[in-house]
Amino acid sequence: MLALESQPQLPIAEARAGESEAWNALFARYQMPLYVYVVELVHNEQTALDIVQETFINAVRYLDRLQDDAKFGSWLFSIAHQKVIQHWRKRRPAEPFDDKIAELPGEESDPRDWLIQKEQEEEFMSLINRLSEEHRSVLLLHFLEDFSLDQIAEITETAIGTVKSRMHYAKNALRKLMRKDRL
Amino acid sequence: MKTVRELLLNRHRSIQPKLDALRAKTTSELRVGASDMEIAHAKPSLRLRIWQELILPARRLWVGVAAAWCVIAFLHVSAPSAKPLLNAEAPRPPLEMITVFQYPDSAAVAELKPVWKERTPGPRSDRPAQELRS
Repeated sequence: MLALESQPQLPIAEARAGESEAWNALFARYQMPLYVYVVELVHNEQTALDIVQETFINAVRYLDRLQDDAKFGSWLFSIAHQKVIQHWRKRRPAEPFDDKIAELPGEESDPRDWLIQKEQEEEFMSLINRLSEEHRSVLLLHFLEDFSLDQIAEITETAIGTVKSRMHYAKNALRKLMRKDRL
Repeated sequence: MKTVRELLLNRHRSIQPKLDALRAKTTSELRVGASDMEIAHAKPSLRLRIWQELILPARRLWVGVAAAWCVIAFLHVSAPSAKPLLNAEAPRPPLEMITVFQYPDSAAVAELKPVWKERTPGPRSDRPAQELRS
């Protein structure tokens, strides 16, 4: 399973007190997964860096609004997610999203446990990028930080049922694509 | 063999120096912001300066003054009310009379007609004057 479950205690209280070292530790912990999440959604390095920086600044500014310190990670990702949505809105008009639940095959192994061989890496990433942005978003949050469905619902400000269906669809679509490409 | 997480993170590993620089910039701005706040806290406000320089050194004097004012206020409240020097209910004299008393040498006053009529004294008795002469 993932190493995220045994992560050390984050210095949230110290960050609340304005200690820059605490913020440095928090940003160091989250900068890479946050960047990967953003860049895989916007597909532009500079835009992703800008969004990560804006996320850090907003986190410092609005930490008082975070009620539960244990939710710091999902809270940080929710800020980044909102920035990504704003970026999408600037780039293109809102498109209706269609969840094709009825077409899904049955669930099998958990994709987090999948082991990707070196020669399959590019292929796997291209498969992920073939998913819609909404599905990719849910899947990335699941892969990168092992967020629960509830947390993903909070981050993406979506109903839990929608998150479940998107996750289900995304995992199965990925499996399908992998099977098809291997054949 | 890699997990999906490892694959995703390793794919963008080259961005690490830029992210480190970005983090350093954000935290250094945070330090500057914090030191500005400390300076703002360290610099006493005007009220505090007045308190420290004006009130605090002469606190005994200010306490004495305050006590004196308290005594004055108490005496003022508790003392019986003094009679007014002028009777407010008394009829006000005519304006001409006031003017005459205030400006006796004024030419304007000289032209003023007195409001009262000069009366010649009348007979003391109702009997006719002839009868009295006789």
